[in-house]
Amino acid sequence: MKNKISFIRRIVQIVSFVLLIYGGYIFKTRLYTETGEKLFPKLKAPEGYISTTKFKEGSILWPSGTNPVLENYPPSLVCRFAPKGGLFKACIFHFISENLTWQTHIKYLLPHFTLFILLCFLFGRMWCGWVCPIGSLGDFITSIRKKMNIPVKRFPDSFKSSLRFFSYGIMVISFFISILIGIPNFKRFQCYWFLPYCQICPARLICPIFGLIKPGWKDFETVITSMFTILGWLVMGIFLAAFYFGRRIWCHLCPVGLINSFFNKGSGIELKKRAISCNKCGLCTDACPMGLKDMYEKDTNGIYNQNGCIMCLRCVEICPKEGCLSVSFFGKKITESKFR
Amino acid sequence: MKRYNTFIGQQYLKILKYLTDKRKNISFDYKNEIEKYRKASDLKTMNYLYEVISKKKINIDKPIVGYFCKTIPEEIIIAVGATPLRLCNQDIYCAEIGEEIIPGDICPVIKAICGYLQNDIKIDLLVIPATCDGKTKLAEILTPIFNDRIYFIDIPRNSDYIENIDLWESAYLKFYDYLKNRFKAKPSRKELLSVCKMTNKRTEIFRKIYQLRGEKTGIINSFDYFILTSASFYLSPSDWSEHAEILYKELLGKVVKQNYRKRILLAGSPIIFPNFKILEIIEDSNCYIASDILCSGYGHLFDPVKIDEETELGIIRALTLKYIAPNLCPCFLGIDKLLNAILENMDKYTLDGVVYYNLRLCNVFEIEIPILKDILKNKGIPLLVLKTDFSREDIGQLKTRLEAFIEMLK
Repeated sequence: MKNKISFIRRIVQIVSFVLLIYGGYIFKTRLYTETGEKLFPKLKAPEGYISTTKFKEGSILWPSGTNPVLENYPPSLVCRFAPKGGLFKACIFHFISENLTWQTHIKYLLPHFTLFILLCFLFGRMWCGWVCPIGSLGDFITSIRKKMNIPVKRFPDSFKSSLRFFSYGIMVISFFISILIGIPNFKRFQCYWFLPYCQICPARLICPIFGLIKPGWKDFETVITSMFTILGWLVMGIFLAAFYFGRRIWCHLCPVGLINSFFNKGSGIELKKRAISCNKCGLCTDACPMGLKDMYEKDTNGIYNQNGCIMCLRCVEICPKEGCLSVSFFGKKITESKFR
Repeated sequence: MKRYNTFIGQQYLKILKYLTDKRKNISFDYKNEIEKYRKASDLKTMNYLYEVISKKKINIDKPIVGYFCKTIPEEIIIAVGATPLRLCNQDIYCAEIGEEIIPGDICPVIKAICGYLQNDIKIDLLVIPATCDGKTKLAEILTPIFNDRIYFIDIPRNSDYIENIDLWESAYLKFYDYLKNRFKAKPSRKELLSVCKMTNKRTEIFRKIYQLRGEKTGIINSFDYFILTSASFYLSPSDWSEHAEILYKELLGKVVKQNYRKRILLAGSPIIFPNFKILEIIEDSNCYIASDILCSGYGHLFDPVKIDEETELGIIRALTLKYIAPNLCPCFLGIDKLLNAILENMDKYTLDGVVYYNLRLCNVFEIEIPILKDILKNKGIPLLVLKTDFSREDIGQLKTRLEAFIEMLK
């Protein structure tokens, strides 16, 4: 078969989309057992602190279900706002911001965090390219563009690096705000500034919509909530435009992806190049949805897990030289580029 | 399309008439050569291909688009309903005629092309790329004969993907639009894709034969191989792959005696049918061309079209990445690609040495040699440079040099 990797990836994406968005519907009961509770303690807001469960229907941070099927935080964008609680609790960004505000003791955080890092080290940013539901949705939007015969818009490197810089900015600012509102003196700001990134994240709107639940998309109660509502629309617009015109250009901006990308180098999945076989046709860079250039530019054998790489393995699939690019999992070769 | 200097026409046409008269007196069919090579062959399927080469079989009911070099995308020519015909020519007699028009120290391939085109005016459109200097100037030299039937593609000489991809894309897009206007055709995306599929099929079979040749010493002699690749200039991709498939099956069934001929890699200038001098020398001196990276065979057939996005622009872009980016022509910047190709072939097929064929007066190939020598010396790979032209006078001398080289390999 011609595009074997893309085909498998598409199936994985569809399955994980269904599981992550409709998990709450599919598994009606909680699978969270006692041993699970011992291993991964459920994190709760302390007395007097705000949590998402306290928001009422119609406000921005209203989750449609309080109890997720599993109480874990995998390194993908599994949204807290997925209908009926979803399969997993939340994404890592939500997890960190929430617990910074709640000032949870580290011994409760550690097991969750260890699992997260373990999964990251196993698959790196593969979570972005293969599992992330809004990434899958974006790929679907991209395929519509392809059907309509509209060429992809390619962005310069400087733009991409500025997006990454911006992503750092979002991360630092939202963590800073989260810490700030956790201080007792600033408690009264909690209901407005709780989870600042979640309030503008496109997943907050997309996940409930696909679960046929009305998200809190127009909350004009106060000035700050109206600001966040409008900002959320704007980001949603940028999100759709980014996926429509520029393939995975959004993923340079996504702060969840940014956290995953720290573990990309040295993860179990390794992208390798055999420099001697390269005929410098540039197909790997041309087909890269993230628009990364290292694979083409560098002329050395070795591992090419770049920070931006979402491990979609499109380059391996499209490379016309036999054995030039290959993927291995902890040193064991899984597949390599071949002509047909 | 801009017309070039048509004012020289009158004088030029006089020369032309004189030349066509002269051409009538010379025989062009190369019967003796073909018989000689056919006798050396032990493959049944080759008969048809030899016939193709001797008769220059072309599909005549469609308009013919002649082109030079491997940088012209065949796919879009086929898609607009024309027949692509690669005119790269190494005919000795044609070169003699070309000499009358462009005398002096000029590449014999250019002269041969020039001579060949003087009365083969059945061609509906001539596409000339700006790859080497000679080909660039051909656009002007051939203007009195072809007038507005010439299309000139300007291709930037840096074959770096990141630097020049946009320029290649726009050059190809312009060419595509021109062809669409000229042949009044509007190929759909599906048609383009099906043509790409056809050429990919050709590539697939070529790669199989290429690999088989590398793996088994003596499975196909070099005349047959180069006749096979030269036939791809005349045959449509589907016809060619059909015959190549039959040939591949025959090759698979062939029993090869174990032999210890030295296995070499042939690199350098292109080798096209009548000019098989180098091949004769190599076949005679008991060594085997296990692999080659010449633009007439490998360059023409080895790279596939890999389409990332199946939009129209995406297909055009994929074509530039088939034709321009990976090409090994020394006209382009990027000797690292050539080195990669040499080293990969040496490694993959465990070859003994490299023979670099340099057609005299083709300057770009000559410029490359010192760098190549230096690097291959560091890698410990023996290299022999054979510099020659179409004349058969220096065969003895070249043979002794090659034999000495092979002796050194032992």
